[in-house]
Amino acid sequence: MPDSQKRSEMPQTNRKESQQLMSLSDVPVGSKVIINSLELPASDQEFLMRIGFVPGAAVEFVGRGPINGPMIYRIQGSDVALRQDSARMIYVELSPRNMQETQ
Amino acid sequence: MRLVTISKSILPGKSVVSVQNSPASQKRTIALIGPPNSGKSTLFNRLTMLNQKIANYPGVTVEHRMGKLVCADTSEIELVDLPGVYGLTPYSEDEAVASRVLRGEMPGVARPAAVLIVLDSTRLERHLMLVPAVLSLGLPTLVLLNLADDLETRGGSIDLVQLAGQIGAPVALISAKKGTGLSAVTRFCKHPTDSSSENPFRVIQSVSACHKWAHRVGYNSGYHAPQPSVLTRKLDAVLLHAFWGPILFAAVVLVVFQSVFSLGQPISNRLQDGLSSFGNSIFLRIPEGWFQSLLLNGIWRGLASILVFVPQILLLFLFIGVLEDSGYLARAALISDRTMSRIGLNGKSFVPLLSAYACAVPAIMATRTIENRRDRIATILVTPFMTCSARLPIYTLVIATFVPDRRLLGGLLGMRAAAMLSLYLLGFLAALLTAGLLKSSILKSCGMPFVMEIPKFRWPSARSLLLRLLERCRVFVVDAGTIILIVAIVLWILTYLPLHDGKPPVIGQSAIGIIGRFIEPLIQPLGFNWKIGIGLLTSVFAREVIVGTFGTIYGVDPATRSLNLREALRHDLTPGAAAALVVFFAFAMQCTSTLAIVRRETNSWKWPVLQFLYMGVLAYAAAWVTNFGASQFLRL
Repeated sequence: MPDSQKRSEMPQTNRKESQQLMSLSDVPVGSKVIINSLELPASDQEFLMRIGFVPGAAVEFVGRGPINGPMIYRIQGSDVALRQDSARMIYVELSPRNMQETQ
Repeated sequence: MRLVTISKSILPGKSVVSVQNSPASQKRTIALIGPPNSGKSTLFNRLTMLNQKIANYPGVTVEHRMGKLVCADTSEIELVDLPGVYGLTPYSEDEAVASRVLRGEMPGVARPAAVLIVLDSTRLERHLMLVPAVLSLGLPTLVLLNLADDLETRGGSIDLVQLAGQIGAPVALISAKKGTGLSAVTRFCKHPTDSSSENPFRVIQSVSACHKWAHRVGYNSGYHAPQPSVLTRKLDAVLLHAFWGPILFAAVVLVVFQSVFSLGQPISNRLQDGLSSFGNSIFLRIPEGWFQSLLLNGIWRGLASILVFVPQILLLFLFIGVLEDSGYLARAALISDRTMSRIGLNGKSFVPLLSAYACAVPAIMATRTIENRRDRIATILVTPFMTCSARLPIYTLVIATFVPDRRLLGGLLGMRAAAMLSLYLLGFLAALLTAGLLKSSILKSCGMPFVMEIPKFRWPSARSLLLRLLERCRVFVVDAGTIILIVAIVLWILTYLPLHDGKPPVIGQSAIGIIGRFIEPLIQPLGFNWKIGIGLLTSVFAREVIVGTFGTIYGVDPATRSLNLREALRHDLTPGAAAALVVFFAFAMQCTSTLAIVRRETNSWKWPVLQFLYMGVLAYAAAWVTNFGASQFLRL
């Protein structure tokens, strides 16, 4: 089992396979993406993953809060608000990576 | 050998856990754990009713709630409500505390004999991630799937027998709000099963692995997540609308603020009058002497000053409770986050800071909704700068005495109103600057990023609101009240001694008067004499006390007090010194109740002492600058 906190050291092949790797903060409103990796400090990362931002999880960008507020993401059925600077450090891909997540 | 079987799994909450009786139900502690927003506190209230006590764990800000399980027989079962956590990692204070309690390493709390895990059944897969960490401790565990009513009405389902088999622990479907399925909980608490010897959870360490495990368990037990709540989606379309969202937010804020201010204030005033006339009617019957004076001017006055805060605390927490339980508070935090982030705080600080315009005491108690400890302490530290209603008596007195009643801006704004407004602004700016200062130095954010779950809208339950209101009042009256009472008695002693021919001295010759004269050289640069000094000393108890002290010092006839007091002040203060006096009050921490509640909420003397010194130094410096500037440059 690869340790979750070492995502930044993920093998390069994984990145090359998924061509559309992008930052969660750049995802257009309404689109559904799969989390690929997180590159935050270890403690932040652990916390975000516990909330549900785990590699492999499906996320939908609902929109921004009013007055340039935090980004709102729908993850496993509930809405979570995250500031843009944290969302920028979460990398996602547009195509589903494994079938487990999409059933 | 596992002793538990789940006999039925019918929605909602009809699942029955049948347990083989274990011997001797003596006194035991059972821990209640669950992620935030899983309805854990509602369940705790349901199970313990009012048999609760609340305290802080030693050395941490995390709160500690214990309660006796309400059940028919006599067995003593104590429930410990742990803070809402997603895991048991040592990254956050809450999680570290929960972990220590479960391992029996927390002083003052017995090692739990069993654990109840509360999960939101509508977000099961995410919440299941907490289970392995708890099960690996090897304690007998019952997994409770809360919000069964929601799961059913929104078309979700789960096979409990499968789930219990997958997890390896008994499972029950409950609704803490409706009170269904709770018989399984009481039965488990009376006879917790022995934990199985072959524990499969020691190996699950990383979050990814936990997530995979949770997903597999959910899948294998036929979990169907419920449909999203239609009501929530519809309400959010309006309440989080780019245009209407902020407008409705402003409206809500205005209603809360206006109510606490215009409803709570008169009630407090009336209560104050009522209490003081009640005190007079009782204690004046006692023969005159030190004992009567102690009862009336020391103890009763102290008690009254505690009780006058209760209406405002009740009112504010009624509003905050409704906003929080309905789910709106999270939206409010979302809307104000951008603004608050400019000063290094987050959206959750907004409502507490705003309520501080009425009174800092309930505002500081309201900071509990801020999970991030550093943000919470920063908010607590800046809260007393907001212009609370206790500053108004001295502001009004000084402004009415020194500011001419002239119109400005072509009659739009009175000069007195402008003076009052600028004092409000002054406090607000001090709060902003201090927050910025704190967040860039000793309370620099680290650890948890700003993440907030946006709960779905729900009807607040009157029962849980009521319990919370009672709890808040009790915390204030009992915990903060003790300190307030001690200070009141000390102040009374200082005004009553030294005796002259067996009689108490006039205030100028009392111990406090002597201290007032002693500090005169210190406050002379601010333009204050020793009489003002005594006022500053007595108002350490509460800001509004200064007006009464001035009345006593200037020995004026109560009937014409306000008029004569103004003349006396005009005689004693230059306009520059008067401005310095209100500036001093804008900044100084002249409130024992606030200090007591800061001590209670941060669970340490460090923060209230730091706050008192910081605000005192700032007040002194600002008052000096005001007096110096006014006398040197404006020749006032």
